[in-house]
Amino acid sequence: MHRRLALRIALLGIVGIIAALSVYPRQVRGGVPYQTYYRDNYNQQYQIQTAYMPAGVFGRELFAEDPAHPGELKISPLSQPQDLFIDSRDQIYIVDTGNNRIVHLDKDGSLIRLLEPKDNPLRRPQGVYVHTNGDIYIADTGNNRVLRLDRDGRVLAEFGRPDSKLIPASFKFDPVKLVVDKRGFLYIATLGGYQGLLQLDPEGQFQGFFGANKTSASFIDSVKRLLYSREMYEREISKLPGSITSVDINREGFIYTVTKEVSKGQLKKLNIAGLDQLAGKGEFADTLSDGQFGESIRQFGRMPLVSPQLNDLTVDTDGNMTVIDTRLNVVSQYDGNGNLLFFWGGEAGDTTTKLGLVKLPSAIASDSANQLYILDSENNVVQKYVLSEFGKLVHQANGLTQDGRYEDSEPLWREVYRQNAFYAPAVLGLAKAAYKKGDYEEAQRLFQSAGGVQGYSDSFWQNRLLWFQNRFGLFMNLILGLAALVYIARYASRRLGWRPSLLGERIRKPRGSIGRHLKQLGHAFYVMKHPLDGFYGIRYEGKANPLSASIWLLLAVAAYGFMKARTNFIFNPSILFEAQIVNALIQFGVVWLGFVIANYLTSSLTQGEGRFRDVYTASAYAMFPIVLVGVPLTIVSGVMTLSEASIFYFIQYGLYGWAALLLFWQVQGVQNFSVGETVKSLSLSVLTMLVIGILLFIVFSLTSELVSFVYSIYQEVVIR
Amino acid sequence: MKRRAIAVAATAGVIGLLLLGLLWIVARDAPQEPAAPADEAWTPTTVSEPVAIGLPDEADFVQVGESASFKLWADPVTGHFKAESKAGGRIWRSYPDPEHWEAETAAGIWRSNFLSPVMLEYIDASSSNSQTKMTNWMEEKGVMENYEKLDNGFRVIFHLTSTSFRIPVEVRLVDDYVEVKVVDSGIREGKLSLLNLKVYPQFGAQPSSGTDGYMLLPDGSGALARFEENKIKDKSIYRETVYGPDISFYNENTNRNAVRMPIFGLKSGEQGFLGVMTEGEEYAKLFAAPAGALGQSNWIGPEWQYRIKFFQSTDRQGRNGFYTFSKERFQAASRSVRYYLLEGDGSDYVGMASRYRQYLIDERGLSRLTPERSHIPFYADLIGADLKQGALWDDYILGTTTEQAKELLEALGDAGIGNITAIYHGWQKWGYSSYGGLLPVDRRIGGNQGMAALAQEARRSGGKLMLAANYSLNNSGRGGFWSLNDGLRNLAGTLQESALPARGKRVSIVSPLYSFREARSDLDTYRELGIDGILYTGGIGSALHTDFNSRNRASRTEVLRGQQELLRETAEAVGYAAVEDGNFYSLAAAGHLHRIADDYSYDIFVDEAVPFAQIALHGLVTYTSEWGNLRDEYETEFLRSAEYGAYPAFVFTAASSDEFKKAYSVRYYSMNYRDWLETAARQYRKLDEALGDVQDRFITEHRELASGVRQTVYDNGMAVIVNYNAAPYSAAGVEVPGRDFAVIDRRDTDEHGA
Repeated sequence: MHRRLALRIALLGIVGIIAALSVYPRQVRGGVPYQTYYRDNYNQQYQIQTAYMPAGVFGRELFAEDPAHPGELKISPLSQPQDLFIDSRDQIYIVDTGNNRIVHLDKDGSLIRLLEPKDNPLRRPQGVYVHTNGDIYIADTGNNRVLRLDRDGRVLAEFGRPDSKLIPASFKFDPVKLVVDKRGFLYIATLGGYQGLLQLDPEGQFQGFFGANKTSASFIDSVKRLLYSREMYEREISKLPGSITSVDINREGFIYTVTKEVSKGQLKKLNIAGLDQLAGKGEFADTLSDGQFGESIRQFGRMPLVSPQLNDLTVDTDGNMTVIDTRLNVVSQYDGNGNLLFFWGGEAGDTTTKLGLVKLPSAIASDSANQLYILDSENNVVQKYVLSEFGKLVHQANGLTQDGRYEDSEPLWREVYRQNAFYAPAVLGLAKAAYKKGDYEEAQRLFQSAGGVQGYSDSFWQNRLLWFQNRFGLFMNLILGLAALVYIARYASRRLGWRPSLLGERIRKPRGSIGRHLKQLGHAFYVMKHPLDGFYGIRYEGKANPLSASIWLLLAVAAYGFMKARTNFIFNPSILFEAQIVNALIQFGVVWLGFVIANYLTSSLTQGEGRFRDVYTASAYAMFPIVLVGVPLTIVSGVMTLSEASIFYFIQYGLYGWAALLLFWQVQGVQNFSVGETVKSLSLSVLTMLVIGILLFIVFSLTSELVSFVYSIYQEVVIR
Repeated sequence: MKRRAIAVAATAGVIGLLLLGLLWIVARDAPQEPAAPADEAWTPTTVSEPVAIGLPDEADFVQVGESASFKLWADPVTGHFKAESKAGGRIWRSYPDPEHWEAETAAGIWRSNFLSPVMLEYIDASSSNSQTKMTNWMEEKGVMENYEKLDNGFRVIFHLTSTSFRIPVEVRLVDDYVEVKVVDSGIREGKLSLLNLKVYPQFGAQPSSGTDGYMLLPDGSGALARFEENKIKDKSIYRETVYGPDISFYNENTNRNAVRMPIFGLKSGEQGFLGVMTEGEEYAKLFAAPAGALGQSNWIGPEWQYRIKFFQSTDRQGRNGFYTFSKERFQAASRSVRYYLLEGDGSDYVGMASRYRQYLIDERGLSRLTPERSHIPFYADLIGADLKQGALWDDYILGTTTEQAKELLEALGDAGIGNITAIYHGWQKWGYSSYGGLLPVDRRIGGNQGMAALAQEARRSGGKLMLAANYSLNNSGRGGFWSLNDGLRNLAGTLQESALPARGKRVSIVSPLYSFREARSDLDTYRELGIDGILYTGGIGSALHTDFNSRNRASRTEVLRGQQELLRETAEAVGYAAVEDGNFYSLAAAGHLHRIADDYSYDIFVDEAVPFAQIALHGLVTYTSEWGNLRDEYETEFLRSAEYGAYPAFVFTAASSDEFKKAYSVRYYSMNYRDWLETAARQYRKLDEALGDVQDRFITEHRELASGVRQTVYDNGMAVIVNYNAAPYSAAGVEVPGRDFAVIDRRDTDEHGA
């Protein structure tokens, strides 16, 4: 109940922000009515040149014979059309679901014929496929059948629900989309058919299910499985794998599917064995292996509240896949390996129909020239798009890279990069070409600019190696020289009777208050060596005071900030998109201060001997490892590569572990606790911190709610 | 006991005081009721008889005016009029063409709307949940009061008897135009509130059947909606605020270009008209309905706005609330539209644009410009600096220092580009995204001294240096700006904000009057810097917002006048004023319009973009299209700039392009000038060939020679033929390679015998 309330408040807030921002009218200056974007591996969105230009609207003016006045033509617009197919001759087939017919247009959009089998009428058909041999297959959803017609529209065969023991009794045969492979085998997507595509042979015999999605089992599900009875668990409908929404096939025989109700693997490219070729997509799988498809457009840095819902896809002759999204109304294009190329979308406005803007996309298709056609089931038209100059260039370059012809692709990528320096595929394409040519300096720079972690690490490794190799002689000379120096020094000291301590005594120890402060600061080093003793000293012997503690605390915060801001991006990718560290510093400060307060409160209740100033001082001294280890580690990380990642992470975790241990000893030493008491005290402290946090949250949110409540009442009284 | 009594009394006293205070505040903040209109005092001298709904009888018309080539006839019964051409006998009617009226299928209120001289929308403001209603003079069996003949026209007050609106209208024939004027001061309302008004909505309206024609919309550079049968009953209409949206009021999101020109037009067969809104146009929306959307005719005209709904928020953040209308009407002295009557060859969009150009010369003080050099200008927009997110505070991204700018201009010169106008952006402290308190120039790019030196250098090499200035936003608080005092507020008192493109950081929108004061106070320093001019971006010259901030209260009209005044002062003090994507009211004072639209908004009922704005402007002021390195289609749009006579403009930095990847505002993806030097030089040379000799010439002809081949002809006989197709074009001895253009010099036909 409370959660729902909180959620609603949060939602209202977000809606409010969006409403407030959208008040400022968007500036439109000529050009196409939608924006094209690219999103890099770190979810940063860049507006780029338009990749596809609007090129026309088809299917607006269709005429059919008027049944009331035979011989006369009557306007007969599309009605909730659901599917679109373009055959090998670029002719267009639209499944006009609401009118129970197939509309056949030529490539310029003029009507060729209306396919309406009179003696065998269709009922709300939803899919069509035209085989290269001219046969037309129709998913006649309302009649639970698939019709096969010859090119003149005569019925050749009718496939009903296949008869097989292997098909579960609960399986409903509501075909929605289908493809037919070269052999004449049918792959049929059915409504709610979570078993996958129904595969039939040319005679209509059941061959099996193909390309089923997997159920996604979360942690909560496994808990439910433990706790629920069998009946209860089986009632969880959402545990069925998503049923395939649409299907396409390309010349090589790969079968592509899209699925609506899944959060991963929305788009799949299945080989003959039904294996997804896109799993683990992306050039740099280490940073983007989420396997999600379908993009969403951020406005003013905010993501939309709903996730994409893919409805259909098309594969062009180069293997690029384009998907449409019914919910967010975004078109996204990926290359044959699932790397994002572009995505675009725009607001249609309530009253306007625009060239290039689709209100409710229901299907997408592409022709032999890689032009896109999107079917709009609300405006009842087909919108056509052609590649822009930029889009064409990217396709050419990417095609070469896909074929592994990096060097051929280089001049093209260079031109793309010249036109758009923010377009990561161009930067990566150039970086790969540079790496291949052995220009590691350039490769390193480019990989860094595009945020390619593995590539950067590899080229840096090469550069570092080169650096060392070039200076091998110098280093050897240095080492030899040093060894000689040490030897001479030892020899000389033995001969002349010098002792190192003499040097130490020469330095005059500073006296007075400055000296005292320095000594108290220096106590940190003692704490490192003898933690228990050191903290005891802070409580009982006045070895440190709040001033020196505050200095160490400030240094620790600064060092923490330094780590956040300056650690090499291959270990700390967040600096690529979130440069500011203020939030991290505030978090650090709040947690630390919360711990100090909570620890003081709980310890004093459990007969601890520490005063507040002691807890404060000792906790600040416990942060010393961050300064001592964190700063050098951060500096060294700049010359590390991924192969040394384990060393880096070992030291980093070690550093935090050490600080945590020091906190433990701090409690023990300052409060004069046994180990058992310390554990108890620490657990209580953590609990107290949580309670304080929750209380603060409630107080703040209630107060601000109250203030705005009073204000709105006042406004209502004044205005109405 | 006694103490308790005192305590009770004290508490009661305090509560009482608090309540009194609250009452006082409520009374103070409550909107003032306007004084009741003195409606009773009004007694007309003459009153006509109500008429039945129907077409006026042309036999009743009497001639009320005559000019050299036209006659004006008025109907004393319905208040309609018609204009007749003496030469061709063509007739322009303020009511539907009787020839086609039989075919009209509209019924109900819309039928009488078409027949009525006045139609309007109103609301009953006394009830909070009343709906907008539509009515017209004929539907209400209205009467005409005080009909009288004027010199070359007539005057009448349309009285809508049931809703008791009185609308005074004057119609005049002057030379080649008919002017229809609504006298705002004479409007009378009863209990109801007038929202908007259309006078003679069907002027010149024509159905699509049989005739070839189009409506000209002021969308982008100008767009044509050709007459079509509209068999599919598309209901799309065009309704856009002239001079762009007003952020203080509700704006429908149509995703269209802002209307920059107060014009519209209609051509049917050999006859047409150009409409120019000349007074009160800042309170107009342009309304156009293609055939079949509302009635069988294509009709177009101004919709005069008197009240627009706005969002009355009830919480501090301005999130919750409701839409309502203001009590007061928008006040303009009068609202006038001129219908320039065009016939024959001059009735197409080129004729309309030529007539508008003549209007700009005759009435708006524009004149044919004198080219400073034989070579066309090249506009180089330089980005000084911007901000991006840094670890603790924002990081400064250095784009171009004044020293680098010098090198950059030299490099452009070496590449063969002469006559460069450099426009410096983001020169203020902390760069582009740091708005407000602009001067002095940031030291990191060279400071005031660097800028002054650059100005000298630019002039020495025969160019110009302008500074781009945005006075309409403030997020730095510099210059003593405090948003509570100096920010733009809507009628509900909500401060209006914009957002930086990246991360949605909020930026206050400045009260227009404050921005004028701030800009004015900077003019002296600009002059001292020795720069040649100012390019206003972000609002001055391009956006009109009503301000309800009580310290700076300004109506849309006042903001418009203030902007014009500021532009004039700038031109006087600094030498030159320019506006980015400016509204046409800034013309005359502003000598250059930067980055104007050369496309339309892709509405399906609209067919194509035409260079109406460019035809009207070429030879009067300079203008450019979108930057050459930020185009969707580099080649196509370059060809279009040749067709439209637009001078080249590029946006440059000396820093490499990816520096600006994370910038808050300047996220243009390719700005390094080295990457574009070659392209820019090539395009400049080609455009210079085409446009160098026609800088002061008017465009007299623009048409399509073949599909994808367009010709633009200038008044000295030079012509540019642009071929957008891949295949070469050849006809009449002219050869144009694919994706290219050719210049044809027909200036001296005797010698060359072209």
